[in-house]
Amino acid sequence: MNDFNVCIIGSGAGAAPVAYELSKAGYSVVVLEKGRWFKNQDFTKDELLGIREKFTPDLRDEQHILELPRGDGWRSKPTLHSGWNFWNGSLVGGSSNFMSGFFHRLKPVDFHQLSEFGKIEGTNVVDWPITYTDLEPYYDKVEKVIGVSGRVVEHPFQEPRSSKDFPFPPTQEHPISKHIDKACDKLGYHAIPMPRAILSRPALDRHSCSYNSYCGSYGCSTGAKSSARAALIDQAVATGNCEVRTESMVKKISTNAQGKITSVDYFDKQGELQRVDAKIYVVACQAIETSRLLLNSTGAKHANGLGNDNGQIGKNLLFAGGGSGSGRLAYDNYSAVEQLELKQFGTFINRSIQDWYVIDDKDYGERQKGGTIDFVHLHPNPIARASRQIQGENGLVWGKPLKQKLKEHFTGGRYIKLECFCDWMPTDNTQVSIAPDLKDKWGIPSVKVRIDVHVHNLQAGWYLADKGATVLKQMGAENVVAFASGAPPTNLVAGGCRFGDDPETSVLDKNCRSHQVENLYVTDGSFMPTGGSVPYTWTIYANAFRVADHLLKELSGGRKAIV
Amino acid sequence: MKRRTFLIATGSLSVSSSSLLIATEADPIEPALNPRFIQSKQTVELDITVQQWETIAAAQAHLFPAESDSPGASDVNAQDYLYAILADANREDADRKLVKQGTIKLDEISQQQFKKSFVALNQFDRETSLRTFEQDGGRAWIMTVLGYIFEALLADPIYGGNPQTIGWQWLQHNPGFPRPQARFHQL
Repeated sequence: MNDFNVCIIGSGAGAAPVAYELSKAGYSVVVLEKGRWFKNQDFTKDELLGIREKFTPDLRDEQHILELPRGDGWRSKPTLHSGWNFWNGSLVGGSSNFMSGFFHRLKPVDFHQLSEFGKIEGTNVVDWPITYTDLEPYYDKVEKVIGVSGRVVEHPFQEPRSSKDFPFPPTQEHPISKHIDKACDKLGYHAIPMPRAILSRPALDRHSCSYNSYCGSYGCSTGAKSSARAALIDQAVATGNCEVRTESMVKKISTNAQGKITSVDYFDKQGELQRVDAKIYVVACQAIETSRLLLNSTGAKHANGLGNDNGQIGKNLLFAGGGSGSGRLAYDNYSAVEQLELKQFGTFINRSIQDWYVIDDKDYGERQKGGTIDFVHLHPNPIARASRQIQGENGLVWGKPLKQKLKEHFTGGRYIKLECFCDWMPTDNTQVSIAPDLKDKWGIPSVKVRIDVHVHNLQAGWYLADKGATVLKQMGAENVVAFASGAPPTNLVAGGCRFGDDPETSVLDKNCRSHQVENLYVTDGSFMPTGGSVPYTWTIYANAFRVADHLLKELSGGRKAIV
Repeated sequence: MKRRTFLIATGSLSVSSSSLLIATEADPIEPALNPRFIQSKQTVELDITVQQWETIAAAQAHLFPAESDSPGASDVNAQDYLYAILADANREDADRKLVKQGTIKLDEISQQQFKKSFVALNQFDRETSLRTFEQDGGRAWIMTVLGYIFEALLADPIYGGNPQTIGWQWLQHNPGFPRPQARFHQL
């Protein structure tokens, strides 16, 4: 007799669909979340909430070790004081609370990159064990259940859809969008409305967007943003079948002599060790922490970590490759009416281009994977914006020149940013491994996060950034800059427990069950063998719904009341 | 040195620091700290002398001067704000040390170059001393001091800076909503 049918570790985008589906079906679910449970009203537009890292652990208590290439080896440094931070949100709903909700599906080609484009030297690209067709119904489900707004338009890389259009109309658009549309028409590009995981009207027992410009990096105060918390956890708890235990940090997943999971040991709010057991265990702590927990969960049958006989856990970690850029529409170049339009506050740009999702350009090389260009507002955070004005060409800027620079930056024009997404090629050089000597405040060993960028990421990033820049220039933007970046966006992370058909080369089977541990599933972004050229969240949600369907079949017949 | 002594000694009694003085008298144990600026449940007493605070205030005024059409460091309570930041027990001692030692260094540079304390220098010589400091290990200090001026200028007034949203108005900045009714550490 178990305490619960299912024990889920984590409460973000990979965890919440499982909690939602199983609790709705009457199964008993316990969710162990290391962070607190903040509500909509706690999420105000207070920039210091982010600067003081209110929603992530204090690095003095919990940090990672970063490994970057140096010469023929690796240079290690703890993240405290490094400027790096791999935490993205330790709270109910996880980092989905702070996403911008730029929602793109993967394309069919993302599921068979190796077959489509062949081996790329130095990478571990593989085909997925499922196809787009397998995942499509769940992308569709995410649109309806958690709420995705948008408008389908024809373009060369529009993926097949089972629903004709989005269930919610696009969020309100900023007048800059029409400038982008005009420029793209002129250039022969296809500007498409960017789908957003934001409700454009009240629905699903949640409010609509309040359009106040502070979205990405901020928790949503109306519940319109489709975070795992607002869209799924609240509803799961409302069934009466889902219990969320907050401030519960899992120490270890324990196994028996046969290698099957028997229980989970976690520290509660008071620091006391507690134990819970279930029939099925689901791990979804975001990629780095998921690998860490599994690697730390050794046992009689699992000397190298839980389900890690083949040494694959932590390997092929993914970030998002790409580039970025910006340009400025100087108010002086526009009429008084147009200036007022450009200054409009609150609405979204919501434009993307996917014309180069696959690049078929002889000047660039063989046909290969490209990616997505998103056009977005410069984030309004004023302290961050001001801080970027301190650096001058000849040293620091201060005094009246600094004040003039600030005045011009804030009031002289409207900035448009490019964010380009391409695949982060999986390689042997981006991975997670245990750091036995670095322990967190509970005494649990942390991990080393090794990162190196493959040149393909940079090439694709440059290609996309250059294309995006042509749009900004066509719009008449000034100070246009665009560049590829090898720096990993630490908030866009996946991989480490790739799924596949071969138990020798993958961690999970196609249903995201461990090849070696029959009652272990991993449902966050860890399963992804390749990342696709879009932000991951929609795919993480969709896949977790897919696995939840599988679990419902597994559990049917084993239904029992909550203990 | 107690904050109270600092205030009396410098005589920098703005409206806000008057209330600070009152708070001090009411609470003789904790270092005097205007609740308007407190950012943590616990505060520590600072090992920064009156003279050093004067140097800091002069540097803040030089780095971010008040002008007829725009606020300067003093207009946004930058000194009190910095005091509160450093007195926050949750801060690392390294942060306090950086500010203190940098302040000492800036004064040393002023003495070497002009045989005067930084406070006693004219605008031109202050610029020279700060530029020398920038080239001689002072970048982190200058960026830290400026960074907290920006917070006092542009964070929500609930934290004690940006009085009457003076910073937002100057830069025509729209702060978004809902604005915080409590500070982050009270959540």
